[in-house]
Amino acid sequence: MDHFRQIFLFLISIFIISIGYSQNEISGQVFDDQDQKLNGATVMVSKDSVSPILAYGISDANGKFKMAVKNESNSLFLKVSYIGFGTFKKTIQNKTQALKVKLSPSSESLKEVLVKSEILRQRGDTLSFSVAAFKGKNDRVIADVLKKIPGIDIRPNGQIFYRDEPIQKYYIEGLDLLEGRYNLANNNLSAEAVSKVEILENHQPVKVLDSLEFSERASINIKLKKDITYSGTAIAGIGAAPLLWQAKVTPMIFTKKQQAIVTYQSNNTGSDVSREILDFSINFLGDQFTIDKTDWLSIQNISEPPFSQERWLDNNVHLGSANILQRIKENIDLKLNISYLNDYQQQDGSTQTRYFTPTDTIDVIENTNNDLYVSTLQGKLTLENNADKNYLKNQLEFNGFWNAARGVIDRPDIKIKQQLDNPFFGIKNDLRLLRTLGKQLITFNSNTGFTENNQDLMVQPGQFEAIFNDGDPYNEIQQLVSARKIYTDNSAGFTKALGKFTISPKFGFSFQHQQLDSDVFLNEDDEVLDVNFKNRTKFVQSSVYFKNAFRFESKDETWNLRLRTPLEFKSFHLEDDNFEDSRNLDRLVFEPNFYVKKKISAFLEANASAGLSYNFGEIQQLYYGFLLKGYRNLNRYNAPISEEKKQNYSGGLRYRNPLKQLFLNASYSYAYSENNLLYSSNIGENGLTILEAVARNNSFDNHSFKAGGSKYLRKLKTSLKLNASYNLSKRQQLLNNTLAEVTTQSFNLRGSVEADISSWLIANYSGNFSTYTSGFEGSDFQKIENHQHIIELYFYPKDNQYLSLSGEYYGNSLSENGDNYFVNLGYQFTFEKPKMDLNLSWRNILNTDTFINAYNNQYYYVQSSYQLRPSQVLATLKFSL
Amino acid sequence: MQTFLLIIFSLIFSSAFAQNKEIEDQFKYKATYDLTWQIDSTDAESIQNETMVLYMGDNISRFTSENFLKHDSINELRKKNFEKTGRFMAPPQTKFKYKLFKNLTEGRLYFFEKIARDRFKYIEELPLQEWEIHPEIKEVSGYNVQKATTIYAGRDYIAWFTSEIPVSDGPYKFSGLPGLIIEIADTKNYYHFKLSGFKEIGTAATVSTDEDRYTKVSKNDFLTAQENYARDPLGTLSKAGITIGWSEKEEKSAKKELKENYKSRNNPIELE
Repeated sequence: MDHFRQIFLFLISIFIISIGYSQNEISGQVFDDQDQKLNGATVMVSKDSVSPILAYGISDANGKFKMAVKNESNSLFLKVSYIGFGTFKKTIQNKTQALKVKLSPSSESLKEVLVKSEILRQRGDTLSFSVAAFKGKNDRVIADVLKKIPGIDIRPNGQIFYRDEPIQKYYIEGLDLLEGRYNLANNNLSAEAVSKVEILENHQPVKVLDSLEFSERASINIKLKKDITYSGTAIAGIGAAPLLWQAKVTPMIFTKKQQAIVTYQSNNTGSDVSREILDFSINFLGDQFTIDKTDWLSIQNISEPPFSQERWLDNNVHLGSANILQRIKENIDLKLNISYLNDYQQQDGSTQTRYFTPTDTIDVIENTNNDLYVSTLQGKLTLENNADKNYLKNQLEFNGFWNAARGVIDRPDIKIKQQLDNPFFGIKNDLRLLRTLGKQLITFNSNTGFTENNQDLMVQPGQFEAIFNDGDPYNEIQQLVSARKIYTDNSAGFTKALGKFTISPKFGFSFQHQQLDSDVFLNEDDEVLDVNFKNRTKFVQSSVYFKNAFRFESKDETWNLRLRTPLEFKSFHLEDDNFEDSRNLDRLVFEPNFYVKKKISAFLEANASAGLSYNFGEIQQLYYGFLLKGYRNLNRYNAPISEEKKQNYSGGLRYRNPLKQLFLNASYSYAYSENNLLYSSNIGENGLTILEAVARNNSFDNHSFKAGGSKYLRKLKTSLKLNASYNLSKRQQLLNNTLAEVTTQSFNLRGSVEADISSWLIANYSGNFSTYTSGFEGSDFQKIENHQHIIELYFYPKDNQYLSLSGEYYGNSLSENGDNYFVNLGYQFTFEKPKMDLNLSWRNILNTDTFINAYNNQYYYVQSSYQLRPSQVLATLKFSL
Repeated sequence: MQTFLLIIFSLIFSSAFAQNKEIEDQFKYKATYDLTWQIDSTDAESIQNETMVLYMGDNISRFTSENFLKHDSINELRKKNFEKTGRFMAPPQTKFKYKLFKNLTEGRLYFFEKIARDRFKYIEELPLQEWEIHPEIKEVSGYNVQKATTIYAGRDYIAWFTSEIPVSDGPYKFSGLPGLIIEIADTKNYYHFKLSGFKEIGTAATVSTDEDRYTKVSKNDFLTAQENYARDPLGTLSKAGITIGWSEKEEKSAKKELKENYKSRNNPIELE
């Protein structure tokens, strides 16, 4: 510091000499009344007591100060002050001199002020942004404006993040019309209609929890200019060849008590329309039971290519969606969200499958041609009462599917037709209730649901002749399946702190009743009466549980511990009228799970976890009689209820150095499970497979290693990433009645380079190499290598346009013609008047007609070729309504 | 398996608990400043404001945003509330999550800030500015003030200080004048601090900083880390283990937006 001061004075003296003034140095020392040196006293000189300061000094740790005075006045006014001491004032001569100043304590306090602020303060936690201020000339919908607000990021799928956390709610005029499906409003509400965007930081949407529960998340509220607003956007696109179309229209209306958004979309370009109605809501409800569609039967499929579906999906889709909200009373909203989707898809391709058994190899060649018909109606009716003292949300949801599929398998010797009807219906009601009981807040959840399946698979000509028709060919086989499920799950819980630990216990009970009926018919009406091909299964699961979690975090945040100790009494009862048999299983299960994280140094962190869990049979693996799952798959589980006991261990290290932009991580995990059932596959000619369960203890173990790193090179504006993983697993399997130990090994290496070459050019490369090997007891029978290389270039020549170019390569070591090359081009131009975006894309420029892929599984490998969309050009225009 | 667990646990337990060092002093005065700043230098509409507070003791002063301070001090209260109800209260929000201590006796400035998940601190030697005193005087917020100018971190500043409060301190990193800085702004008015209150604190508050949670770095490294985060929040996130499902078409526009977003947060108080 002294050093610094010397330089400072030196500089000042040079300055003064150059001007030519005479310069006097006034130095000195400041003491208090006890003769202690005072540090930090301010020493000033001016011409007289009211003039501005000419020079100043601040006393150092020894109480010393120095000032250079450049003034020609004969006398100077000296002032020395220190907080808590009376100001020393004296008129001195203007000459170089050393002074000794003594200050006496003073109780005189400093002048206090409180200035009334002229600035408008932010209200509570709400930040308000005027859209007019942020709107750029190219912005059309509210999403374009939102992106510019500091702290907001919109992810590629449309999810909105504020300060790196997903937003909680998307309100329009304070009403939550769309729940998590806010893409629909965000991408279609015209920015012109919006006056302000409000960000509600740390927003707690549930009023009971306000000021009780910590919320890290923000919500967004869109304020409109008018009380009644009509808005929307439209997109129209056309392309060739063959004729392509793409259309989307999304009108909407908002008033104070009513809101509605409707959308209709259609295309045959392979574009995924469901993206607009993706649900980003954060679900509080348990997911133990669902009404998701389950399929019992299927037609033979071809694996889908790993790239954008716009290049391979041959579709013809129509989507209609309506969202209506009505505010009934203050705090009470009624909402209806309903959507209908209709799609017709075609798949063409071929597969070559080779099965390895301990004794044999079996080859199957299939040319597949599938027509898929999708018809889906989904709806949600929500009643929400968000009052100050209690909270209620009741949601009634239904899913209806009327799907069908037709498939033709062309084998060298035969043509097999499959026809599948797989309708599905599900309805559920979820209730969430929050209430304060004294100072404790208690959460109640009650979920109840019902699902129904009536599926029907017909295969011509009939398969499994030896089983169904004494080895003679026959015309047709039909599998009928009817499955019903009803469930209810109810729980109550709260959170409590005990010193440094937090506990959150939860009590509850659940009950599920399932019924499975199945029958097989041959040649239209000929019912197979053998009980081995019929199911009349009733399966009842019930459980009473007490779930508890402990959490601990040390004050300096270096330790983080979590222990979950769920205790559950489970009861299973299986009954089949056909077999006049029943099975019961009652188990008290304790599934502890422990996780610990320790910060070793500023950048290094270690974590470890261990857990024990149990899995018990589901009805999908519990039926006695055979089911024809696909044209060449016959399954049954004529065995006790399956019980699996699984142990998991893992440990990892993570190094993050944000200064050097170097990130490294490595982890290892091990899983071991014991099973009471062994699965037996009998693979016959043409890949006809019979799967059965056999009561026999067996085990499965899996080792998995992962390591990765990334580094950002500042000077090159380039980031490098490299990830590797290795997996080794072993399980027992009965293959054609021989017990085999199947080992599989897989290795994957991924790397990428992303370079911002200049402000108008970004270049990316990513590569992927993987190998998969499987074998029986030391003898590997197949190893497949897969390669993937992608190069992308993005050009931004001007603000209102961009151009993208990508080249891709996919290859594998198995297929002879397994090299796939692709080139794609995209261009966007934004017009100012009228406001429109023009988008041109040319996909699959090389006109590659099929995608060749190869993969393997435990005891088989598949080579497939998938018919792609031809080289196509599409132009779309987007504008506001 | 057992060896593996042993290794992990020995790693965890090997590092000893370090002792916290504390800077100790008692604050006697509190000055409140209104800060208005423009987050995007190209957009005059992007002006925001926040209340900042400077606490002063005999040796040490602390400068923070008022809400950040509440954030810190409310933690105790939140903990109590949590123990009662098992639930947390929301903390107040701030744009400035740093703590800045000036130790005028030893001539050092300590700067603390958390970036994403990492806590950093760096130290600078005081004074950081060379002031030129001008004869202009006026009255601001009820004090007689005199003009002083400096060039600091790439910006030209005009400051108004008062000898009525004989403390050589001021908002942010500004200090070294013979009296408290009452108002200071850069010549483009991107950052403007103005005193809105000054008072003696009835009960003196003790200062403490738990330094060990903060990693000591050079100022340059700190700025690099800060810039890295601003430039690529997505990358920073994915390194923290959060993955994002990219789609071909939207990746293109997302990249461009991120660039623009970064450009619009272009106006830090220190330019060099």
